[in-house]
Amino acid sequence: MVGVMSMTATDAIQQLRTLENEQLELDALLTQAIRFIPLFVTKQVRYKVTDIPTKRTIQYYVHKGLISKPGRRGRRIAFSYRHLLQVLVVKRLQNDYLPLRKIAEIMRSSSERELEDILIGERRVLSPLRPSDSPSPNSLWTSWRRVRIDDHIELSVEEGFDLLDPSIDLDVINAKIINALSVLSLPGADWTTYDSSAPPLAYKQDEGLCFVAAPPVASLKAASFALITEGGLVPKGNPDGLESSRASRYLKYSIAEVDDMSAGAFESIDLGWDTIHVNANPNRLVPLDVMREFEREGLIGRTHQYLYTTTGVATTVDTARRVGKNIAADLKSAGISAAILTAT
Amino acid sequence: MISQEIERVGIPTAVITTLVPTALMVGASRIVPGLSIMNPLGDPGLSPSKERELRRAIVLAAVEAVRDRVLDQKVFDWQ
Repeated sequence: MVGVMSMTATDAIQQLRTLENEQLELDALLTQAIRFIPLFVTKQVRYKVTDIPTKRTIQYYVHKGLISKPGRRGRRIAFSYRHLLQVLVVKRLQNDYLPLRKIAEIMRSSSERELEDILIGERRVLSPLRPSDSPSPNSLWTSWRRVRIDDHIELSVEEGFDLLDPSIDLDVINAKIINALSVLSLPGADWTTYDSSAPPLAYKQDEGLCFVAAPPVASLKAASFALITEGGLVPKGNPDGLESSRASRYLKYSIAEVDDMSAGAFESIDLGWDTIHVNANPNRLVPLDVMREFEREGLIGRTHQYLYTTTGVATTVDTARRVGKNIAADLKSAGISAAILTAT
Repeated sequence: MISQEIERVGIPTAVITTLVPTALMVGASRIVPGLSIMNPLGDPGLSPSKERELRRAIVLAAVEAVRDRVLDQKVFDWQ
């Protein structure tokens, strides 16, 4: 018997078509699906998508409208060639990060030949970057080529893309790629809702220095500001034992009810520098007094209810990045729009 | 480096520091010069009102910095 793995996609379609008039029971459908998936679906990288479909998977697909309702043959449920194609296409399109809603849409409007084309890769379906876009019939069937450009990165390019087209701005493309890579490499990033129309990060690489800047806040009046310090400012007595140098973590303390960082409540445990004057007036390190003033004047929206604190003295690059990532994730989930960091 | 990680999730971050060259070296994008190393926002030698005035000017520069569309590292002077 010829192994499916060694075939070309077109050969595999021929093989698949021998099942064209078959009525398959659930077990047989699964067997055939598992047999053909490795050929039409490249290695799956998203952990949520399981490689091997099960009975439950098929039930779920039917429920979600991803595959048509099965027919009956006597007392048994019977699946057809179209169902098998649909299962394979679902796996294929999931692999391309297409949302299920969109896959269901394609299923409803596609003939068996069109489904085969998707499997062969003749009609690559573009993963929509903005789920809110309503799909036009044409955009569903644009042809895309996928190339591997580096470890962990593939580039999908529409057929007919012309680098010399005057409307192509490589700086913009560059920025958008960096933006996508940057945002999508964050822990917990949602690949299906990535919005390519969001203002990109500014990015520059210069002699080993990688510079990234967020787009500016649109309105200060509506902005929430987080205060962060590397000066090791903690409640008096350092109740959580923050390291006085080379801290490998950050701590956050509520300042929601605090009007300014008056002396006595907070102190700096930063070993690096003389802390007498900061301890006499911690606003010299964390300017909460001025932030409250700006709030009252209506210049800014509000100050975040937590102060983030760590010690930067002699910290390694890796540690600083990890602490930074953790603070960033926390600020992001709190919906913070801007930050002011005081470094000593 | 902390500020870069925060910028990269789309939150503009102003860094107030006296060590401007260090901040430039680690890739900070919005840099506001501070008054002294341990007291970036204070000067015990000044009168309390004058000191507060200076602090306000510096924080105002930081607030303005996050409203700026920076395309390269930028130092926001407040003097």
